[in-house]
Amino acid sequence: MSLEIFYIIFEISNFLAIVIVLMAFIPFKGRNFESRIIGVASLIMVATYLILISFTFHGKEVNIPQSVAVVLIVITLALLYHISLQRRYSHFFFISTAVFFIFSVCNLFFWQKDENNSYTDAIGSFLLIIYGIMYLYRLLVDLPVQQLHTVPMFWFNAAILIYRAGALFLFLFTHYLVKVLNNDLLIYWTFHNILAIVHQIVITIGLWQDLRNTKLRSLSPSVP
Amino acid sequence: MAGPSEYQVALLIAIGTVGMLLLAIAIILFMVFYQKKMIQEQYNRQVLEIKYQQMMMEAALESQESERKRVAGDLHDSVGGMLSAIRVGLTSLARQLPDPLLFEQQKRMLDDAIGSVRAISRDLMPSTLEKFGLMQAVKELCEQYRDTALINISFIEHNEVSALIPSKQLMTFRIAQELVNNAVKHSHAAEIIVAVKESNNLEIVIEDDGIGFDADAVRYVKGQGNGVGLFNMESRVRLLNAALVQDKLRGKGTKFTLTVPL
Repeated sequence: MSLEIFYIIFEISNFLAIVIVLMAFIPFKGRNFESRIIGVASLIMVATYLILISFTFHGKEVNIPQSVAVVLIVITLALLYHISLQRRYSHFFFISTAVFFIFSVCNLFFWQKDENNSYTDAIGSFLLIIYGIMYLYRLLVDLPVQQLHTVPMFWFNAAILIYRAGALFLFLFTHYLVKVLNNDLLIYWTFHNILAIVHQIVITIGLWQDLRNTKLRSLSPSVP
Repeated sequence: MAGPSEYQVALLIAIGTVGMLLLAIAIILFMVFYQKKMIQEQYNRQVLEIKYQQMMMEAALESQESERKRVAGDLHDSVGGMLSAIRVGLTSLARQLPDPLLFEQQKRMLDDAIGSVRAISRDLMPSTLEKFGLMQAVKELCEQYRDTALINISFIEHNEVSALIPSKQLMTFRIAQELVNNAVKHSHAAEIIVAVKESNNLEIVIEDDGIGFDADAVRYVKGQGNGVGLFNMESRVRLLNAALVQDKLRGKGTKFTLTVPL
C-alpha cells in the first residue's frame, strides 16, 4: 500500500463529501429536512478538511479542528435521528448526547489532548449505531412506507450504520495502532477511507432519492 | 516486526472490523426483508378483513331482501287477500240494499287500499323481476314513475341483454331503482332517460336534466338519513364487483353510469 493510493482514496472521499453538500442544498421546494441535516454534517467535514489544509500550510499541526468536528458531526447526526424518530425518546437523546459531549471535552483536554481524539470517535460511533438500530426498529414497528428504498433516511441510516460499525474497532484501537502497529497504520486507515467512500456513496443515493421524491411530489401531490 | 501479542491485536482489529461491518449489513438486509414480509402480512390481513366485511354486507343485504320478499308476500297474499274478500262481501251486501250506490265511496276507498297494498308489495319485491328479468323490471319501474310522478321518463334498450343470475339481477335492479328514485325525488327534472346496453359488460345509464348534485358532497354531509341510499348502493356495487360513475363534467343535471360485469 503506497502513500499515493492512500491520498487518492482520501481525496475521493473528500470530493464525495463536497458532492453531498451540493446535493443537500440544491434549493427545491419541499426538500426533506433530513437531507439538509446530512448536508450540514458533510459541510462540517469539508470545512474541517479545509481548515486542516490551512493549518498544515502554515506549518501547524493541531488536533482541535478534527476533534471539534467529530463532536459537531455526532451531535448533528443525533439531531437527525431525533427528528427522524418523530422526536420520540427525547430524554434518551438529550442525556446520551450530553454525556458524549462531556466525555469528548474531557478527552480533548485530559486524555488524548495531543493526539487524534479516537475515543471520542469510538463513543460517537457507538452512540450512532444505537440510534441507527433504534431507527430501524421504529421502521419495523411503524411500517411507514411500502418501498423502503424510496425513503432518503433509510439510505442515510444504512450509510451511517455501515461506516460507524466498520470503523468502530479502528477508532477503539487507533491509539494502539499509532503506538505499536505503526507499519500497518496505512492499511487500516486506507480501509477506513474506503468505508468513508461507501458511506458517502450510500448517502448520495439517499439524496438522489430525495430529489426524485421532490420532483415526483411536484408532478403529483398525492406522492408521499 | 510484530510479535505474537501484536499479531493477535491486529487480528482482533481485523476480525472485529469485518465482523461489525458484516453485522451492520446483515441488520440492514434483515430489516429490508422482514419489513417486506410484514407489509405482505399486513396486506393479507387487510384483504381478509375486506373479504369478511363483504361477506357480512352480503349477508345483511340478503337477509334484507328475504325479509322484503316475506313482507311483500304477506302483504299481497294476506292483507291484499283479506281486503279483496271484504270488497266482494261489501259488493254483495250493497246488492241487497235498496240503494246500491250507498257503499260506493267505501268501495272506492277499499279499491285504493287494495291498489296501495299491491303497489307496496310490488315495490318491495317486483314480481316482474323474477318472471321476466331485469330489463322488463326496469322498464316497468320507469312506466310506474311516468304514470305516478308525471315526469317524462324514457327507457331505451340499445340491444338484447343477457340474463343475470338472480342475486346479481336483484342487486342491479335495486341500484337502478335507487338511482331513478333519487332522480324523481330530488332532481326536479323534467326528463329522465334510462338507457341499457350490453357490450362486454351490462351498462345502465341514468341521466336527468335537473338541478344536479355531487355524490361526494352528500356522502360527507352528516344528517338524518343523509347518504344511506348512497351507502347501500355503493355496498351493492362493491358486492357486484361493478362500477358506478358520476359524470361530474356535465353542465346540467346528473348522469350516472352503472357497469356490471357479466
